[in-house]
Amino acid sequence: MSDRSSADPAPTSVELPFQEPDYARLRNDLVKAVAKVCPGWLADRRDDLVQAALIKVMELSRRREGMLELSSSYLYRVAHSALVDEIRARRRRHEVSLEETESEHAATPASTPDPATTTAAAEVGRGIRDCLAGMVRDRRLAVALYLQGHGVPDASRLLAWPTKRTENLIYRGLADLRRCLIDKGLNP
Amino acid sequence: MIDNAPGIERLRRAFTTYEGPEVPNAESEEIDAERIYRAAAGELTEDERRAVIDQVAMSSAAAEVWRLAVELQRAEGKAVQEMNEAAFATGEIEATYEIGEVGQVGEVVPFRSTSPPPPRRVRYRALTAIAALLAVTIGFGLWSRMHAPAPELRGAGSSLSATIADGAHLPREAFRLTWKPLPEAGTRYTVRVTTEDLRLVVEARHLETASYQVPADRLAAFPAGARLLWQVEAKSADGRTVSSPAYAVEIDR
Repeated sequence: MSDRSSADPAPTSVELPFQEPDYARLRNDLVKAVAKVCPGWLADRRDDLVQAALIKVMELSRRREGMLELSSSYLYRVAHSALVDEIRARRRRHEVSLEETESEHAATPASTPDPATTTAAAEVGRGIRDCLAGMVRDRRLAVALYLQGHGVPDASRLLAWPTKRTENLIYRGLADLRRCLIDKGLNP
Repeated sequence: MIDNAPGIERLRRAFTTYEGPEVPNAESEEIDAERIYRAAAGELTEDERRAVIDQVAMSSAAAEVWRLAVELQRAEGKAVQEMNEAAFATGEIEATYEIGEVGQVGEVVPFRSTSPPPPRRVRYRALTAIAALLAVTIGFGLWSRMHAPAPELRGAGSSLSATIADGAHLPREAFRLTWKPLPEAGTRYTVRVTTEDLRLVVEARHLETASYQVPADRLAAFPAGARLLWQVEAKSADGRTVSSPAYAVEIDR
């Protein structure tokens, strides 16, 4: 105390440890998200993919601007962007690789479903996209969320429409979709 | 009901596993991952959200970005919830990190419960996670205070500003921070000094004069040339507060 200026009161000090965010947890969450969302050929490379995304997140976070905003939501948001970037890059490389060595690739993946199933699903998937494109917009929005796995209350909140209206739009939209797919010769 | 609609899972699977080619209009539209993330979080305006959802409907790539966003937002929500629960369970945060001190001056004090805590299950990993979150939250709180726009005290007619240069070099034995005093009688000042990564070096409260000398022992751990940030906050007698911008200062020797 003796070396302090008499004009200055003894400061109240608080020592705060600054530790890094829980990157292990984030990594685990990214791995799960990739495994759940991304196609099989990409999920097979998920460790590599996630590691690359995580390094980007850590680099961003260690910059001064990042340090100031290291909230949990910021971290996951940045991780999402980094992951999307990595997926795009891998997808581009995958497409090039497919073009260059199609026969080699066809022999390798073990987790891919049989070709007939894949082709049928791809046809229905393409048909759904075409049918959605021709649908009344409000129905399209409601059905798209529903097909993405959102329930009626969630879709209603995201679209800012009343629950009943959202439910009706989904119901009618699905009916439109099925009719459209049948017209295309697809079995919905 | 809709949820039991026959074949819905097959449609969902076909929709979510489709990987292009995209329908003509969707292909040309740029996919903005950040915007999609915000839309999935319920942010953006209603019209903007609907525009993003329309893109999701038309583009399989955008739909994939959306699904990733939803998964990560769920995971984040779960992580935050678990940290909260762990903090309530351990009840050892205050003793470990003295956040009560910060709380007295109105800083962010997360995870305090007035309800009886559940049985204690103290685990190192949980403590580490809590410490990280606390540090981040408190650090962010400090930063927010240091970077908040400086509102003017009504009647004071001036904002709070330093009278030493931003980035000044000060010797550690005479590390005196000074600012322009506010004219209101009875104003008290609080000074905070932090490292650039927002660790608190020292905080001095209830100062009556417009200067504060950081004790040399507080700076002992820092090498010459170390850069610190500081900010002063004034509180008038009737309780109104005004904050200065954050300034940098370097330890000269």
